[in-house]
Amino acid sequence: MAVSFVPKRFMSSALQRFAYNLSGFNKYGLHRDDLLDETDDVKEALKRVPQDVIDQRNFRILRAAQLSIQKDILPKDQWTKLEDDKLYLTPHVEDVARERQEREDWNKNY
Amino acid sequence: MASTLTKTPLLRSISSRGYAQLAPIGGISNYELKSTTLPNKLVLVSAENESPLARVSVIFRAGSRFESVDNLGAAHVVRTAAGLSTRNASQFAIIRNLQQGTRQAVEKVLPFLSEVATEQVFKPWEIAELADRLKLDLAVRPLQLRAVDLLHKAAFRTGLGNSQFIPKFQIGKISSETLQHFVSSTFTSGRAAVIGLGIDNSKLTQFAQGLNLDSSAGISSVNPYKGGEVRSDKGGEFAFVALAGEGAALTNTKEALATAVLQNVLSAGPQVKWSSNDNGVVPRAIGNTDGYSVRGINASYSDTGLVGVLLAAPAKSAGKIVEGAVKALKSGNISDADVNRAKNLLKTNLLLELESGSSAVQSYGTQAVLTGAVRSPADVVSAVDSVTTADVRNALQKAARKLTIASVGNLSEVPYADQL
Repeated sequence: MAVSFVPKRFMSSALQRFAYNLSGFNKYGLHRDDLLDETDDVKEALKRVPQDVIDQRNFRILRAAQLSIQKDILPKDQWTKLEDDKLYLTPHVEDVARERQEREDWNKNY
Repeated sequence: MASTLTKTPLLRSISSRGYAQLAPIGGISNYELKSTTLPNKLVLVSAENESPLARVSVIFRAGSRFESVDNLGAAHVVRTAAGLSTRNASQFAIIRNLQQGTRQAVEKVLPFLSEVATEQVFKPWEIAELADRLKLDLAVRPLQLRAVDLLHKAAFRTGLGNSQFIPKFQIGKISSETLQHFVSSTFTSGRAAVIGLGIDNSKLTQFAQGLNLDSSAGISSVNPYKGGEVRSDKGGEFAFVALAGEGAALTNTKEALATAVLQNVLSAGPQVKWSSNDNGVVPRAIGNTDGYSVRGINASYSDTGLVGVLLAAPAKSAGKIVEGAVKALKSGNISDADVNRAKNLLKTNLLLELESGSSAVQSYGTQAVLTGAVRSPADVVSAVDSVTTADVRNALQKAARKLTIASVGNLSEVPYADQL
């Protein structure tokens, strides 16, 4: 989980891949953005993502929950690779946060 | 959530208050119109009317007539989408900044106007949220409006015949890309006009030059008058019937004014509040039957127009009333007295329209964007004076050559086009 918070420029891609694999969530077939805490910002961001992406996300989360119940992980060839892990939600979350920040600033100043 | 107005420095607020007391809100009425065309063909009109309110509007030739089968209703969505997030400003920022008001704020607000006018992005989730608003727009249309909408459909079929409102089956089906395409083919500098009342000409020129507009010609649509009939049975106690023939194009000023006079000759409605007495040609021909209402309609577009009457009648007597109106349109009996009365009514209406800032901006905007030039009120009034009875008779003859009828409501007694 901590991987996504470390700025990329400080990390060589090999080290990044190492840390990514160490974090463990990829063994459940999850992506980084599947792990975001569902705050109001994230909920709003989810509304802005196309339906097929949401369906895939829900599938991954359900599969991970099922694996967790069974105390199992996916076969190694199905683990998420860092290259496949696209940040499909983070840009939208950032947008939403920026819009919220704008509202809060306005309410403070006027 | 108070606005920044309360925070303006003391001296400035005193000076602006003094200024506000000098001129009425509407400003002075004998201002001088300055009209220029920029090198990119954008028409710029400005006038200093010394009003404490500044009005600036950016107008494009981008109505529903430029829609095709695939993007039917795009104009309505674009209209509703004004104020949604743009490339550099969020929905929230646009709305809150535009709420700042009055003349001092205009410089702060203009960048947002140019954002709204030229930097649309149509975020898909914001467009999806518009669906409810569009449904509301459709639901609150009065039947009279639908009669006029259907009249256009019958008269022009495609292009100008497109409704100004999105068809129900298109709600939710117009994507962000469709809108973007519609905007890029209609929001170009050659089809734009910038109108400013109460704002300095050089400031406005600077604003207009800063607009990020494509200079291509965009799409065009040619719509000759065809004529026909559309009926929409909706039940109820009344029938709303729009009856019209070919009018005049706005670019042909002489004819356009003759049809505008003709509209007032046909019927201008009661001019005294609460009265029901109307001295128009059509109500005189229909005579004194039970409660009906008639009003002349006239729409001039860039290449053609419609002129006729809109009737509202109780379902049972609608047949007789429509026949009376058709007889009046076809007989062409117009006296000099009728034309004189209509000319006075038209002049009053034109001048009253220019009295309020918002409708003045709209009226100048329409002229500028459709004809590329703006005429001063005094100029128009003297042009109205030069309309002769023969001009008006010709306009009526042209209209009566082929009548179009569109009706909405309880149509049990309303005649069909071939029975007229």
